[in-house]
Amino acid sequence: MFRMLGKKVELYRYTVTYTENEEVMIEYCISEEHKNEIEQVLTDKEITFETNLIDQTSNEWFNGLEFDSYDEALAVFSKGEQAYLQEKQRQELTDNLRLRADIDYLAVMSGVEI
Amino acid sequence: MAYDEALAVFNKVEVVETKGLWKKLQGISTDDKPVDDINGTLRIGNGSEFYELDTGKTFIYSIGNADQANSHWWELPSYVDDVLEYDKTARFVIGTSTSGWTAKDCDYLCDGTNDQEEIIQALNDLPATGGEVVILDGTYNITASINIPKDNVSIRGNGNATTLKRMYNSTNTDSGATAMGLITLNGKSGCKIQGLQIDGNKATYTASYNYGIYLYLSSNNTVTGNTCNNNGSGISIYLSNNNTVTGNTCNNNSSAGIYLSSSSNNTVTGNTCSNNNYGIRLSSSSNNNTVTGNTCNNNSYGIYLYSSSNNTVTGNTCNNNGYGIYLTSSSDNNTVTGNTCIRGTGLTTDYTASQHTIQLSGTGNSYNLISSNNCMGKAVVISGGTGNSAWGNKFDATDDLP
Repeated sequence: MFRMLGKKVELYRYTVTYTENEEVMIEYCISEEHKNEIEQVLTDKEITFETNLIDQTSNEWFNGLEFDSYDEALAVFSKGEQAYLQEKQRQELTDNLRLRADIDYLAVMSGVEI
Repeated sequence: MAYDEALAVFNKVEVVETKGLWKKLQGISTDDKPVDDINGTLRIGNGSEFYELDTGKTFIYSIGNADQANSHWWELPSYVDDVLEYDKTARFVIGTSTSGWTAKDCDYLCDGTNDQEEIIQALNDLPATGGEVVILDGTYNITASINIPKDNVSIRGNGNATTLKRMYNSTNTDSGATAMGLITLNGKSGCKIQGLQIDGNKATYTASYNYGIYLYLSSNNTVTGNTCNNNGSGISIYLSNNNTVTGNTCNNNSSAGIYLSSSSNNTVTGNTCSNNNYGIRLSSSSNNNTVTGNTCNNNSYGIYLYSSSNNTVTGNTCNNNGYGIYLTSSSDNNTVTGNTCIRGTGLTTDYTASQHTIQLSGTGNSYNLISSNNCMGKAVVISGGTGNSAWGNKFDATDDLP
């Protein structure tokens, strides 16, 4: 239960459910402020609603990450936090190795010992 | 003789003789003047041709009985125009005494009470093939729905100077005196509703089914240049396809300015829908519609798609709404491009937590293209679905290219 604001992941914290024009509507809210605004609008319209808290305790690692698309974010989310951390470590290791190789190349070419 | 040739003749002719109501424009003989018989039926020589010019006058090119040399032009007097039976649009004019019109000015004269009766009578009196009803300046008090009775009917007002004012509540019905539209098309095609101001009078008449113009099971109609303010919904289209809704103003309606439900292949363009709950709403499998060049400001939702797919939403201006453009409940394969959806001056601080530029809400919307929109101040929000592409939407100083 998350959304992408541009490239940034935001976890949903609440749902506000109501019926309008014979259609069941669910508003997903990312914050208490967001929820309060929705509730106020519905209250002003005299529309009955039900608010529920979404337990995101196990998903906090995902909040605020950035991806190019929702599909990419969903793929990472689906694999879970451990897989994400392992992939992140692998990527960092790869980056470090590549950086080391670049430094070695420059040292050899310039005759500098490091 | 072709129309262009006829027009060339009219550009030169002068009235050379007047006989009664007939004006001879260019003549050789008066002997073959078309005549009325005692039954009022016009007899005209075989081969006569008719032309209606932009002046609104009708002319006849009367072929002489003896030889072509006796042919000449006549301008038809208005009384002949009314009874003439030929392939020409029938037109009735309606006025109201409350605005100073008299029986001489129009074919049907309203009096400020139950004014739909004269309008309905005029519609009923049109030929079965259709025709036009022109409603002159004035305010017409309407106490029952005006159901268009036949295909190919045009109702034309004089813009905001012609006001049809609701004086009753509609019920949830598609036909009859309390049908949902003040003007209702049920199963009709080829009709045109143009240049009318429909005042929903919602301060007094509050039923949610009070629509300004209602199309039900109706296709290939045009709704253009009308103002539908203060209704339940301004223009409502249900189970109707291939209609054109263009250049209308639908403000201050309780629900939607323009509402399409289960309706496909319609064109909604160049309308202004402000201060409604929904500026333009597509709902319940309203697919393959084109929504372009509309202005939807200061609504709760500027443009709202619910369970509607394969629509093109492009080049619209949706400013200062709660949500500029909002897609929800399995709205798939829609193209949302080139729209402007900002609040205030487009700063982050112009938005509260619940205010958005463009949002795909829920997890059921897939394969939508959201691109090249002006969303300054808040990025596009995607809440779920698969295969949605959101790129090139300007929302801050950075680029948003893939």
